Amino acid sequence: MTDCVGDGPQQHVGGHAPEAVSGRRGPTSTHAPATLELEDVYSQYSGFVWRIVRRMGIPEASVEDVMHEVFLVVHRRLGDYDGRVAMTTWLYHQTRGVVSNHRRSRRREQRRLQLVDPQPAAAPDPEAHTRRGQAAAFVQRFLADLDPQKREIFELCEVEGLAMPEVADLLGIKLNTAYSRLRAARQLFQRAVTRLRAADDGRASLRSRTA
Amino acid sequence: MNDAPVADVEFDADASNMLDAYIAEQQIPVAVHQRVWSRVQSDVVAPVPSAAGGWLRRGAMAGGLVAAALALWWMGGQVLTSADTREPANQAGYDVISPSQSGTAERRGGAQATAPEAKFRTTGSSRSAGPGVAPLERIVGHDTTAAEGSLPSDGVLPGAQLDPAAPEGVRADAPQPTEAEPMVNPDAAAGASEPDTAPTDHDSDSQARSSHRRSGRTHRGGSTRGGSTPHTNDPGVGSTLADENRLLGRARAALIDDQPRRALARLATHAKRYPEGVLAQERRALRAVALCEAGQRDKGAAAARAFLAAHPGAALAPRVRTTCLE
Repeated sequence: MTDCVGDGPQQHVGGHAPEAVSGRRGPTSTHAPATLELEDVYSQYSGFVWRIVRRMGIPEASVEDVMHEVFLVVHRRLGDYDGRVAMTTWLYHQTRGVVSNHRRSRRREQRRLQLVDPQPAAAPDPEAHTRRGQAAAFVQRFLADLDPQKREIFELCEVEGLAMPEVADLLGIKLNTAYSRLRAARQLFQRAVTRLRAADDGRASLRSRTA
Repeated sequence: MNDAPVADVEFDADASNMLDAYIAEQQIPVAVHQRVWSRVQSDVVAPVPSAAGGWLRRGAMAGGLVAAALALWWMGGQVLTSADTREPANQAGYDVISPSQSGTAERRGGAQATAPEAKFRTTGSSRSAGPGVAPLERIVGHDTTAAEGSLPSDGVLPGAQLDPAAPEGVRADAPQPTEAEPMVNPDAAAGASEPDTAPTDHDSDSQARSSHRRSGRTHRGGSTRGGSTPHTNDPGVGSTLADENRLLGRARAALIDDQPRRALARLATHAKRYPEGVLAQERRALRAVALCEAGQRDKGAAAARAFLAAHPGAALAPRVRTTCLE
């Protein structure tokens, strides 16, 4: 189950050289960057960056612009990446920088836009009717209600599959704090699922009784 | 690793499934992946040229155009020999026009002509009003040609050399490509092309770029509204295959995220549910890869060998080979 509570970060680039960029090997493991290509990084981590950009609250319409910017920054700085931290951690920091720049530059514009043009209502999600869509939407709602600190840990660990030490490192918190937040989040999630099931069962039994 | 603090919160099957559904929905849509990559690539491979680079390129472009114009002009003499016969009626009309009548001729030509080159067949005065070219040089060009070539000054022939498309050019130039013309023409061509083409180059470049951006935006708008389209698996038709694909997709995602053990778990789910499913072959390949990436080299190599023996030409064969056997 707990994929993220494994044995250290496993994120690396280049596919078949696990020792290449695995973060915890200390400063000596710096042989990977020579072979690092932007394309490799992109093909492996585009999804990761896409998710964290969205998670950082970038509006859907700007996600691709921000992603584009992130990978231009990555392109510029890839030579500086020395493999001391996991690639995911490094990308997370680059992305955070780009996102905060983006927010700063867009804040005024967005304020003005909001005055003029209220946000359109979200289009109905065509997937919401399928079972899987409902499940995904349920998780989404659960995460939206979760407090941001727990949410971030839960997503980095359960969705991204990052190892806990890396998550703690990346968020700049103590490992124990990270663990306890994750545990709390997992508890909340399991309880929410149990409640949902109870509600579903209740409805089902009500239906069967009335039928 | 101390996983005791978390181990006490186990997810039940429902919770795991829901989480998996959410994770599956959180995959970057292929279209977005490709779109952003093409944007990044275009910026990385062809960075926005500096001012100097731009001028260099413009210079090269203008030079190329001059050369092309010259080449056309030379070719025109040879290729268009048959053009005389194209519109004999028009031709006849022009042959009788004298320079003094040129004004009327133009008006008449304008009224009669259906072909665009008809305009150019008229005399120098009409040509000087031609589309956006330096008129003076053209007129000068005619005069020198007329003088040096000592061609019949019927007011039609001299102008022809300026427009290779004009059939008369053949008659005028083919016999006497005078030395003055190459001297004048390049200037005229350069003068004409410099202001015209250089900005065009720039414009088309920036237009291409902006249209690229624009199209990106348009697509993005689309993907915003239908953001979940790639995930809409119809549970009806082909739902088995869709389910298989979903399971393997999750395994693939886990491999991409360097979670080979998670990938193995998901592959096992597929194996349990669809032991001989449509995608069983891909599952075996992914399993070999996942085993090798998870550090179980022996098991992985065995699985890889079995897979390669059974499907030597499979799409995933090279990946299996490089991951496990090299």
